[in-house]
Amino acid sequence: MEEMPRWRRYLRLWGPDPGADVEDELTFHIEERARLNVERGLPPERARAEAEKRFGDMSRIRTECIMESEHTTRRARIGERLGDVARDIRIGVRSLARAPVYTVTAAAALALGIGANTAVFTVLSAVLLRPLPYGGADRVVVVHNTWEGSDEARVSPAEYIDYTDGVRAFSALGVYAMSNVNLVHDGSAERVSAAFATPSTFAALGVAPEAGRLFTDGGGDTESIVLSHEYWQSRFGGAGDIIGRGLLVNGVTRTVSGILPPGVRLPANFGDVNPPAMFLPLAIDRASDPVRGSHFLLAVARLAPGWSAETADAELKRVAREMTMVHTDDYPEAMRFTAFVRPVHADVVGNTRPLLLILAAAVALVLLIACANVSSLVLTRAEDRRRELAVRSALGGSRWRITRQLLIEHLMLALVAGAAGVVIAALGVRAVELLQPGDIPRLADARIDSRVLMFTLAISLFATLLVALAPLRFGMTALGALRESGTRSTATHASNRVRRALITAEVALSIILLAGAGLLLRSFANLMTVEPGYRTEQVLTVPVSLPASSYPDDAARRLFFSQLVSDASRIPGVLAAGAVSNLPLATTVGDLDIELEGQPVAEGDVSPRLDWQIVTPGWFDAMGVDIVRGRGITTIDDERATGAVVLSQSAARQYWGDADPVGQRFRLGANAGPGWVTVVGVVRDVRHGTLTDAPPPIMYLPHAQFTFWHGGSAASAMTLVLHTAGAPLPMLDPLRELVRRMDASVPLGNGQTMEQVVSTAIAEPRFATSVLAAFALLALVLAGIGIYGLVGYTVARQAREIAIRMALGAEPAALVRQIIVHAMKPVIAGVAIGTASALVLTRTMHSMLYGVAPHDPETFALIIVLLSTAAVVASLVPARRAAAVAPLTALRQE
Amino acid sequence: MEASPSTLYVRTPMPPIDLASLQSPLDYLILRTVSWGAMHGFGIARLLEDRTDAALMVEEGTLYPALHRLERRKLIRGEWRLTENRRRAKYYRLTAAGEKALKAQARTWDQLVRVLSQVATATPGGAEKP
Repeated sequence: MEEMPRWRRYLRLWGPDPGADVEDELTFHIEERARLNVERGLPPERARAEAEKRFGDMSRIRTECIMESEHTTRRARIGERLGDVARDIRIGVRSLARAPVYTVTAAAALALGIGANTAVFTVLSAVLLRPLPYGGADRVVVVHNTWEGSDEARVSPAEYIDYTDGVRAFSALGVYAMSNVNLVHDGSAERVSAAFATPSTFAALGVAPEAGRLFTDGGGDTESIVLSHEYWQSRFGGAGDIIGRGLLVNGVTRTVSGILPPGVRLPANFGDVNPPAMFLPLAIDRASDPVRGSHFLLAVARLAPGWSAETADAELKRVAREMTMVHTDDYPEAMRFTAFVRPVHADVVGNTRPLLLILAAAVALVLLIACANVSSLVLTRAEDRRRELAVRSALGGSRWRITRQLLIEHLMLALVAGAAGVVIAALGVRAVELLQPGDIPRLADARIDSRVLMFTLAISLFATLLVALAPLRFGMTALGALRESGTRSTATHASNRVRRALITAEVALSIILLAGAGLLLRSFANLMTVEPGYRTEQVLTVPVSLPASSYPDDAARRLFFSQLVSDASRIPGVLAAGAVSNLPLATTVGDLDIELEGQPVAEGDVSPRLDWQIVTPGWFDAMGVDIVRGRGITTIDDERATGAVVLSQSAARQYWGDADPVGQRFRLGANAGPGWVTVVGVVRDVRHGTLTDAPPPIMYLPHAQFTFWHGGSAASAMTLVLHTAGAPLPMLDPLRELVRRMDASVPLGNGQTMEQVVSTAIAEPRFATSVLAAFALLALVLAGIGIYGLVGYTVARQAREIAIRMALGAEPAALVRQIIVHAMKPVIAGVAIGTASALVLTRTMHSMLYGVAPHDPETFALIIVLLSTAAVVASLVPARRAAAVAPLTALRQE
Repeated sequence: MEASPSTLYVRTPMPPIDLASLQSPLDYLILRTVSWGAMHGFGIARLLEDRTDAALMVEEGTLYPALHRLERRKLIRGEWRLTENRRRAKYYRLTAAGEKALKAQARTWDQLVRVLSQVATATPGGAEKP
């Protein structure tokens, strides 16, 4: 008979071992039979042999029994495990219910931490992680030109043709431009944001219509409209008969041919609060010698099979270089013209990545601090439960069993906190949407989906592990130490060390958050003190655009605007009125070549350039831009007078140095009218693109004289600016009435005060600053609570010593001082570690800071003082309370 | 008279016997034995041997796979105990489900035993004989 290997017996440590049991059972039978045989008179060896023979084929029988047995034990084991878990859950629930203060505090702290993280992750998921709504979005790229002085420039129609023809890497290349159009529908006129796009744009994006069709290629399609899904829903109520309906756009009747799927936007529109509601075909006709020098188109392309972004980039650069060598007039050497390709996802979200990552890091720090606090709480609770753990251990609970039950208890707490966290996150996302700076792309898509819920679950589990770590280790040592008697044991020393380490960690993390917030606050304060160069209060801005059909010629447009400005200035309550082509902070300015008198541009040199604005008389006055030399634009400067131009200070300095440029002449490039202009005045610099960018060199041209390049016409779209005596917005109504009386078919765009415009411009830094400051404050409060808890705990444990010392005549003040000094030790360690880490980490923020270095000593000094003060205050309360207790009372309580 | 394979019609008013639902005889015997009290495998073997004056099994050991099968089906439950000689042995007892199964089987088996003995003593051609 084979012997079972002896070592198998030891497997029983892990639970019932079917193999060993079966072996024992069968062996028992044979041995009993053998004994019986001996009793009946057989000699021992024969007794045994007979028993075995009678038994039968041992190995076969054994195998069968083991098979059956394993089945049984497996089932039993699973049932037992489930039963154990169920029991642990029950015990956990009862245990948590018995300590409501602890449960609620811990759950609330965790819920806040988990909720904040989930909220940020929701935004992150929508903005950075979710793929763009294009077919094969990883094959879509954005094309930019770049040249001396312009990092990212748009594309011109002629370049579009050349790139389409020459770049083999693109299977489709589309260009588009944004505009505002007048839509007349059901008798009312409104201004609507629109995009003009070539049919190849949709091909490049890989977008299929939700209904109807998109633009057909071949250039014949001039009168289709494609609506965005959102506009179709909001303006037409999702009407089923929208396809084929006629709409009057810019005076021309067009037909709605298709609807885009929901959420689809052109790459440049993802950050827009007001994305294009409709798409109109843009036809670029090779035959009609398209413009080369006017770069106003945005370009998007699809990579052909076998091409990557890198190889396509190289190909594009090659084509661009050939192009510049053919058209040397348009691309002088010094311009260093080239082009590049960027994957569309990076193009859309690239700008916000630093902001979002910093937010994610900040909120993760808050969670860690919250976990540290909860860990402390759990540690206290574990100590209080020493007795309970001792009883359980004595009653036969193994270490693993007790640990498992504690883990399940923590897990339940964390899951409850996680569920509450999801609710908090939903609120948080709503708050972000309300406060959002407006240019976080794709924020509207942020929702709590399955990925977010998975994340919540993951960090709930992570928080559980983190929180339970220290106390569980303590629990292990406590179980061992229970055999020792007395109140002071190695376990409590360990717990003290753990607590102090937790405080150090909390303080360090808080310092990091405070440093980030402090730097941002300082940066934002700097931003607020920037002088924009114009008036920001009591200014109303309203875009006005003339439909081309009713105002086809220059005379009509000039007449309208000059009358509008003069009539508007006469509205009661309006101090001054004027109009400008590009409102500062709300738009960008483009540049235009100029040729200085007597300084023709040499071959291969870069031509002098200035940014340009068109203004009516009264604008400098209305905007509050000071005239420093000569005069501004006035009614003298009309189509009969010589061309006039007003320069900004930096424009004057750029080409005429400190000399007075008044009287100097230069010619506008690209055949822009009036051609030769004479400088009549210089005005103060203004900030245009953002408050932090340097003021650009600008030339201001009179609306009554200016015509667009290559024989174009006078501007038909301007922004009217009113300087009001009182609040600006009430002036909207009289203005609307005025315009309606002048021409009812001219719609007014969105009226905003200049304060609103400024507010939008600084929205992103304000958002980042306020969120980070809120997190830092939260961290400070949490750390303060932690310190308060630690001191309270320490003081309570040392109540006896304190009482004895006071009874022996110690001064309460000295005692308090000692307690605080002792409590500050881990705080100081935390400050040191935190400051060192912060100095390293804040370097990543440099792109978001204005006027302050990432290692700014003042800021760091301030937050160290702030946190230390908070720590001292947090320690003071329990320390004084301890010192105030009468010694006898304290002794009696021991 | 043709008899279908799964039912046997007999003159006396008895419900039909569903042969297909019968357990194996060994299983039935084990359940019966154990219903009289918890017993280990060897004890069951001895009892069967004593009570029946016969060797019911070619191999005595085939008792054990049957025991484990019944344990898997939760008709009996095994527990390890010490014998009088302080040796470790696995005792089996009937579960509630086992009791129910036993009762259901008992009637059928009794019927079958009676029918078998009737058939065994019948003479060919004389089915009507009592």
